[in-house]
Amino acid sequence: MVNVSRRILVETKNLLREPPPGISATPDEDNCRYFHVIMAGPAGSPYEGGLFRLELFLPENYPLYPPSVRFLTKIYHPNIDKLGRICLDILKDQWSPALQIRTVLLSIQALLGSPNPDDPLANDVAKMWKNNEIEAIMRAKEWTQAYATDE
Amino acid sequence: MAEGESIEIQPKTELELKDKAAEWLECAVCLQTCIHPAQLPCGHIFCFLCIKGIANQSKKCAMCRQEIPRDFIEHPNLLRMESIPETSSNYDGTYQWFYEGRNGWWRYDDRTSEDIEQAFEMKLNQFQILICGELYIIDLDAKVQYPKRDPCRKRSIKRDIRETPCKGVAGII
Repeated sequence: MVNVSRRILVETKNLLREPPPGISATPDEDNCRYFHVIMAGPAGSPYEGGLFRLELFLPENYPLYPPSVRFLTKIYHPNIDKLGRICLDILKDQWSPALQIRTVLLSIQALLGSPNPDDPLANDVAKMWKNNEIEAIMRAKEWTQAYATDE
Repeated sequence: MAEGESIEIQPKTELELKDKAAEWLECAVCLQTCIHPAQLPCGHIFCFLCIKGIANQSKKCAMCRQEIPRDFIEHPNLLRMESIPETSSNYDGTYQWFYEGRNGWWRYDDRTSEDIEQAFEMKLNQFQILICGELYIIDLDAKVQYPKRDPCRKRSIKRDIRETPCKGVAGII
């Protein structure tokens, strides 16, 4: 297919045909490298019941370079900062071209289920998470209610 | 009658198994059937050009992250395979596309050649294509190719019949 990497076409088709559980990724009408993502907070996590919007962009030399992913919905999480940037090794130095949009999104969903305050991106959130986990989880639930639900 | 049916079913199942066996040839980098499959020392198999792309970048196997030996691209462990017919197109491969290297003309791999031919038939002036993980501009008017991020590295391209003598295919002699 001219002008689009065949791999992107294969991935897009697979994502639409068999979306990963709790995740939808839809290519933008005008840009097949830009995906609108909606992710359900994992059950049992403070983000349960929330629907989070993310954007995912595939660079020109994808898959040799990783996709850029960012949360658009505000979220209280030690590895996600105010701008929605995500601290996740596979999005940086641990990226491998055998990973896909699907595996990246599943890893981000797993990160919601297991926050890692020892490798923080949002320092204040990580500090709270380490000093007072109960309070931190409560705040994460409040933010989920406030920003990630329709109500 | 029931027996006859089971005999009928048997060969069909075998065929399906053969199809399944062919699936391991899918390259985890381009997500398509391997073209010029090459096997790394760790045992993982990818397209030669996909390995070339990784070897220029992370230098590690995409599956297990084992280092790719420095001389692998010069001395790849290519697997001898029957060529797999391309599906979903009526491209007959009579005409192929070639690019000029330092020491002569080389033929593009079949998939890239097919993509260029498709653009040629669509009468596009130029288009972008991923080769070895690098985005190239193919300019069909000027008959050149160059990496998008480095337009100085221009190479001539030509369309010719498949049998035209050349150095090799996609860097493989």
